[in-house]
This record gives sequence, structure tokens and C-alpha cells, in this order.
Amino acid sequence: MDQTEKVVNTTANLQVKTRKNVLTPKNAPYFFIGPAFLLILIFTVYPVISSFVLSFQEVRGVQKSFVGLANYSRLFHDPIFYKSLLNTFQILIVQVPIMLFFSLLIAVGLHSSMLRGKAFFRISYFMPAITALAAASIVFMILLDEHFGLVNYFLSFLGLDAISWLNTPFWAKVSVILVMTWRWTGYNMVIFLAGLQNIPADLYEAASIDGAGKVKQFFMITIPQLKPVFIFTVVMSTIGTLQLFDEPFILTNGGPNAATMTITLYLYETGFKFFDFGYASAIAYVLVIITAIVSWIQMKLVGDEE
Amino acid sequence: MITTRKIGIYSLLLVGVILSIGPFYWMLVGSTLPSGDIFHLPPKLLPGDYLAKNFQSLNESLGIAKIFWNSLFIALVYTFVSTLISAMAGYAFAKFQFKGKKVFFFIILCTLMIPSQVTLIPLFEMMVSFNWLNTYQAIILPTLASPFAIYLMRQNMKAVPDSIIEASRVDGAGELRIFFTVILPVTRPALAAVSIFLFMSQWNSLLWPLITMNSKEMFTLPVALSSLIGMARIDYGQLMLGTTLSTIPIMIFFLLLQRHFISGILGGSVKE
Amino acid sequence: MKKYMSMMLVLLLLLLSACSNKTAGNEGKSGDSKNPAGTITVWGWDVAAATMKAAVKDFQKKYPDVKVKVEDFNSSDLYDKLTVGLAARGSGLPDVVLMEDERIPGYLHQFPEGFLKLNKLGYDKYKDSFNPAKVAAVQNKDGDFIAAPWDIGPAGVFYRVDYFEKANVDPNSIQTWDDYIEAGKKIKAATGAQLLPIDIPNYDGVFQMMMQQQGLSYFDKDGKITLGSKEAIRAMGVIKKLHDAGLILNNKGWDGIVTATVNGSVATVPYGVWYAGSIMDQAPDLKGKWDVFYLPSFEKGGTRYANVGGSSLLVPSTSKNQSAAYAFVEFFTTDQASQLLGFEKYGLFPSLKETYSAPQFTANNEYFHNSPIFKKFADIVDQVPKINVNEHLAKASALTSNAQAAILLENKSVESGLKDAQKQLENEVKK
Repeated sequence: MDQTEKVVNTTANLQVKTRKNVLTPKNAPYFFIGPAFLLILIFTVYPVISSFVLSFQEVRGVQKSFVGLANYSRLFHDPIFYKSLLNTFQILIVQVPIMLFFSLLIAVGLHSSMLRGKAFFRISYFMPAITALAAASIVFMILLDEHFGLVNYFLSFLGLDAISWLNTPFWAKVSVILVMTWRWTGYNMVIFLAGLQNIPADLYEAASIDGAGKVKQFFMITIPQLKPVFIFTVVMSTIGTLQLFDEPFILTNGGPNAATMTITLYLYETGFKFFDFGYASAIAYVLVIITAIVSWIQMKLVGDEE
Repeated sequence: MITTRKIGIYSLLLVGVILSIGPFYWMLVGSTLPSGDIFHLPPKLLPGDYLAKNFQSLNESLGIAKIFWNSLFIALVYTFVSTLISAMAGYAFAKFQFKGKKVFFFIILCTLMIPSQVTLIPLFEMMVSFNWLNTYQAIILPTLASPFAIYLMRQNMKAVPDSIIEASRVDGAGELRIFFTVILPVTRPALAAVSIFLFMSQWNSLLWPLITMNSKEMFTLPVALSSLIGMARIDYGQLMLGTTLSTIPIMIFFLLLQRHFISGILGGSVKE
Repeated sequence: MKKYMSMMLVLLLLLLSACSNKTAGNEGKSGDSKNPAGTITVWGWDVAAATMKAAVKDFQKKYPDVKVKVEDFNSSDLYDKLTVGLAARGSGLPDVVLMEDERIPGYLHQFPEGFLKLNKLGYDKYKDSFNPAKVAAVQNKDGDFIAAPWDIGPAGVFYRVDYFEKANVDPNSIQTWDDYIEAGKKIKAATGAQLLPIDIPNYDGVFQMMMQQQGLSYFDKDGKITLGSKEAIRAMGVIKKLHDAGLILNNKGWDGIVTATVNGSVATVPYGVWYAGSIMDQAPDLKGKWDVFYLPSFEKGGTRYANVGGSSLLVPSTSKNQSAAYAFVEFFTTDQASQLLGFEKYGLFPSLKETYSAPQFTANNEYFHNSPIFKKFADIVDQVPKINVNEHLAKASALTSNAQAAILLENKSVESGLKDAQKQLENEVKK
């Protein structure tokens, strides 16, 4: 009796369900994925293709005409574009290692068990990562003022001359690096910290038993174990630097003499100051290619790891 | 020996703390000083009484209430809808087998790799042809489906056991109901992390709003701040107060919800 | 499926309704050309914006139904937003916009239909009311009025009387740029102040003035690029000498230049007459300590005159309230009282000729060491060499600033720095 009742009930339920719900396990995934897919199609896939087409066109007002590879060949003869590439890589090569070094140092310092107030340190170091890049750049713009900035004021106690941070090519680059380092060191530190916490404690115990000192343990265990985390941070920072915009836009507007011009800033200027849409699209596609190369290298590295 | 070493480590760490939160302190102090006192040697490191005046002049030059509202409204609507959309998509990818799944997912992975700058110009043309410049949807819609958030939600949804979904189906719950009453509640930490990530990225974003908003009333906070620089006379008190206003709400959130926050900003890529 | 569609629709509608709060600058009735009404938005910057704000009151006496909202931007921001708006068929644009004359050809080239031809609403009747060089600057090739002329910027060197006295330098003895450099060295030794502020990587105004003294812009009369010319090398050479002698204060931005002026770290500022307004406005404490002499020339007896800046008012053709916008532009640029208001308070030197007979122009100015500085400027207005200004100016100026930075800050030689800039500009112009 019970058995039949249940069957009847379920059938009833099923009937109710088919009446009430248009969604079945079969069509439900399309419903769930629909909005995201439509949006991506309209606002990402279409623009990516359209941009590719644009990069072979010249745009004057509403007139578009195909010019073949003219935009790209102009790009290869454009000293400012080369400069923006060079700047991006210079910043990359100097900033990322310095920042990751500090991140790792602090993470290791905080990880060592004897410290008190870890939570306080962690929060303090992470704090810069919550600020808007624009806000951070503005505060630093004021701090780095040549005549009245706090930074030069403190340097004067060390007997150093005032530095024209934002208005000389070399120091402007240093300023951008400073802001980036301030903004991202804590962020990467937390990633390292999580990585450190995931290293099994018995690895260290075993090493201690074998008589390995702290320093040796660091190089034999910590560093190799952190390798995947390391690759992750390097890749994230690299991609972030390739897209650098806010800091140079606010601090120096790409100057002096294009010393802090970045690929994205140049794209913005070409596109939205001079409305050279075709040329700007060509710049964008070079950025795509560079990013693809970086991602490919990353996949190779991670592949080795597995 | 141990204690001197400890003192050494502590003092190094403290120097680091001063370097990382010092600028915040300076920003807070600066927002209470008149412009002339910010550019003053020796520097004034204690708060002044100019906060109200700075607010008044900031409001006069920008209409700060409207700008704050623009930023807040955009970020909230964006966060809410985008979290929902990515949770839905993530759920579909994690828990259903359907035709085209591989293709869809491949597209998502591809868009994840492509720098968003490449879409700027066609998107701008699109906004112009929709006549959407200076509207909220111009900022909200283009990035509403975040491939990163979708990917993240998929990873988290995978951990939900199939059995509870099956059980609800047997109980006769519809697919929508399962999603809202079963799936969403159990993935709450992931939802929190994703929404914090999305909120922060929208609240802080500069480039796209800079391009789509050219009318002062529609500026977002970062755009408004960047517009203050280069004025004939930069009012630094105003500027400091503006940066403070853009930072404080986030800072409060952060101090209240640190753990969620950290994993949110790290994009959930780190589990703690 | 129906339910799904309707849900999506509801979601979309919700979103759109939440978003539909578009900017509404031009709402409401707009009246007709006889009785303009409604609200118009005006974009300007700095003291020019302040002047227009101040003039609104008198304007409303004549046109009580028009409300005017003046918005203050920094000028480079204003140009960016204007360009975006024009490209976007007028989205977000104001009804009236202020523009430096030298920018007009560039905008006309890019957006030939972007601005209202003011003569269509009758502006050509004022043709003879303005300084003729100014009229030429605001007309297109067909003689249409694209902009309504406002101020002009005859240039001079503002200097600190007290510093010059302390260093025992007689401003009248400064005839040539070489004299200027020698004076600068003396002043620096006596007061510690540097001679002049230049935002080296971003501003080439001093170079532009020097070129104009020699009858050139970045282009000669035939449109050939002049950056590699001997005149350009001579001008940049002087700037290099100034820099080598440690006389240039490399301060960032317009704000940096004003700061240097106010806090006494420079002894002179070579600029357009309108800078008088900024000095008076920002440094009331320095009353009586400033005066003006003409630009030094390259050789004794050479021309000492140039023009820097000067702006005009334009009406974007997408303005929804063109009659009110025109009413404001017409009133403001031809109303003697409004023009004198900007002149007296901010040194914005009108191009409206009838103002020149006003007593303010010949009077001694208390702020400027009791000397008739505006008369000095008025005297040279007609003697400023005419130069070729075209649509490539913004690009040329940016490239020259870069060259200036390379030469002064990165030790490139004057010749090769300018030659590279010449080549780059040729590339840009060609395409």
C-alpha cells in the first residue's frame, strides 16, 4: 500500500512539476548560462573581432577604409610606441622582482612562529591593496612633490638634495615603480603567506631531524614548495604591468618625454585624444600578442611543474 | 640573543607598517588641512580644522554627493547582477552536461586571457551608436559577465555534492528553486568573495568610466579625482578629501570583513 | 521559454529604468530666437570661467528666462571631454564651450560640422568690432564665424621689481635674450631665485613665443615644418643656455607655475597678458612688486612681440538650445561691461575694440608697481607677427615638448632633438 501511494505521489509531483516549471534539467543549463553568454558575445567577442578588423582600417569621422597593414607598419616606425614598449618592460624588470622580494621577505617574517600581532601586521600590509589606483597615485603625487613633498623633506634629513620626482625622465619612472610597489607588495605578501601555510610541517620536521639548519631549510624546502605560488604571482604581476594605465595617467600623464608612456596609455591617447581608431586598434592587438606570449610561457612553466 | 633578533625583526616590520599605512594617515590629515598647509614645510602632521571647508569647496567644484552616488549605484547594481549571472553560469558549467558546454567554456577561457583594452574602441563605438554615453548602463553592461567570476564560481560549485541536487529534484523542487534555495546558500563564502572582488574592481575602475562619462554630473569618483588634477590651482585639501572619501567606505568594509575581503580581492585564488 | 524570456525582459527593464537617469542639461522649453529660454551649460576654465560666471547676472537682466550653468574644467580635460562628445554625436556636450584660438583649426579639421556657424544667426554684423587678426583666427576658410572672439594674449615678461632692485638689474637694459640670461645669473646670485618657470616636458610656450618673434609657428607660411630650421635651433639654444645656467625652474603643470609665482621662487614669468590676472588673483600679498617688460629679442632692435593664447566661445552644433546659447555668446562677447569685467579683475585682454578707449586701459595699475601695464600690451597688439596656425598644432606642441625634455633633461643636442621632432611631425602630418 505504502509503496503504491508513494509512486502515485511522485507521479502527481511530476505532473505538478511539468505544469509549474518550464525548466527541466535538460534546458536549465541554457537558461543559467544564457545571460552570461549573451553579454560576453555582445560585449567581448564582437568587440574583439571588430577591433581586429579596425586595425586594418583607417577611420576618418564615420568613414572607414581598408588600408592593409599600414597601421602596423606605422607602428613599427613609431618611436613613441617603441618607447612605451621599452618603458613597460623596464618597469616590469625592475618593479616585479623588487616587489616580490619584499613580499616574500615580509611573508616569511610573518610566518615564523615566534611573532605576536600577526593579524595586525597582515592587515596593515594588505591595506594599500584596497585603495583605488587613482587615489593612491594622487596621494603619491603630493608626497613626491619636488618642493613641498614629504618624501624630499625626509630625504633632506639624510643630507640628500631634492629630487624632481615627477618631472625628470628617470625619476618619473622610479615614481611609477614606487606607487606600484606600495600598492601591490602586501597583496602578493598575502598570497605568499597562504602558500607558506600550505607547506606541510612534517617536511621541516624531517629536515630538522636530518640536521638541516633554518637557512638550508629555507632554500631546500620553502623555495621549491613555493614555486607554483611564485609563478602565479609573477604572471599576475606581469599581466598587470602590461596593462599599466592609472598610475602614469595620474602621476605624469606619460611624460616627461614619454618616459612613463605605457602601451595602454598610448592606446588611450591615440584612440580618445586623437581619435585614430584604426591605429589604436593595432596597438591593442600588439598588446594581445604580447599577453599571449606571456601566457604561453606561463603555461610552459606550469606544465613543467606538473 | 633571541630577544635582540626579535627586536630587530619587529622594528623592521614596523618600518614596513609605517611605509604602507603612512600614506593613509597623510591622506586623512591632509583632508582636514587647507591647501596651503598641505604644501608647507615643515609638514603639518596633525589634523587641522578645515575638513568642513574642504568638503564645501569639493562639493562646489564637483557636486560630490552626486558623484559619490554614481559610484555607489554603479558598483552596487553591477556587483549584484554580475554575481548572480556568474553564479548561474558557474552552476551550469559545474553541474550540468549539455550540448555546446565545451565550446562555451572554451570561449570563456579565451576571454579570460585577452586583455580588456582590446575591446575599448569597438565598445566605445557601440556605446555611441546606442547613444549610451553618460549613462549608467554604459559602465555596467560591458563588463557585467566577468569571465573570471564565472570561472571562480564554477570551481566552487564543483565542490557542491551532486546528491543534494538530486535529492531536491526527487522532492519535486524546480530547477530555479534548487538554484536559489540549495545552491546559493551553500556557496555563500564564494559568493561573498566574488562580490567583493567585483565591487572593488568596479569602484576603483578609471579607464572605462573616463571614456564613457564626459559630463560632470555622471563622473565616478576616480574620474572626478583625476579631473581635479591639472586645474589652474589645484586645491590639495579638496583632492585629499576626495581620495579619502573614495577610500574610507572600502576601508571600513575591509576592517569589518577582513578574511572575506582578502580572499575576495585575491579573487578567491587563495583559500584560507 | 516564455517565462524565461519575460524574466529576462523584466531584468533588463529594471536595469534600464535604473539607468535611465541620463544627464538632463538641456531639458525644458527652449524658447525661440527672439525670446530664448531654458538652461544652458557653459564649459570653461580658471579665470575665464570665473568671468563668465560673473557676467551671468547682467546677461539675465536682458534674458531673464535663460539659466546659465558655468562649469570649470582644467583645460586639457576640457579638450578631451569635448573631443569624446563630438565623436559621440554630442553626448554630454555643453551648449557653449571655451577654446583657445590655436585649437580651433584642429577641431574644425576633425569635426567640420561640429560647431554652429555663428554668422547664420547674425554674428557677422560684429565683424568690424574686433581686432582683425582675432577675427581671422575664429573664421573658417569660407569666412564663416566658427567662434565668437573673446580675449587675446599679447606677451611680455612679468618680473619681480624687488628682486631686480636687490640684484641691481635695470629691466630696461634687457634688450636681447643674452641680456636676459646675464640678468638671470645676477639675480640668482643676489636673491637665490631662479629666472623663470617652465614645465619642461609638458609646456613649450616659451619656445612658441620665440618662434613667433621670428615670424614662425611650427609651420612657415607655406605650411612647411620649421622644427629643424635655424630659427628653431636658435630659440631652443637660448632655452638650453637658460637651463645650463640653472635659471629654469622645472615645475610640473600649470599649478606648479602659479605656485612658483606666488612663493617667490622665480624672478620673471614670460607669458601672455592674461597671466596678470592669475598673479593678482593668487598673490594679493605681492601687490606693487610685479611689473612687465617686453620679450627680449634675438638681436638688438629685433621684434619683441608675440601672442600667447587667447580664447573664443563656440556653440557645439548638437546644442539643443542654440538660441539661448547664441544669445549668451553674443551678449558676452559684445557687451562692453562684461568684457571689461574680465579684463579688470583677471587681465583677460578683450579683442572688442570699443573697450580700448575705456580708462582702465591707460590707467596706472596699483598692483603692477603703479605702471600702465595694460597700455604697454595694448600698444603692441597690432605689431605681433602673423603666423601660420593649422590643425596639427596640438600634435606639434606635444612633440616639441618632448624634444625640449630630451634636450634639457636627457642631454640630447639641440640640433638632433629638433631634427627628430621634425621627422616625427612629418610622419604625423603625412598620414
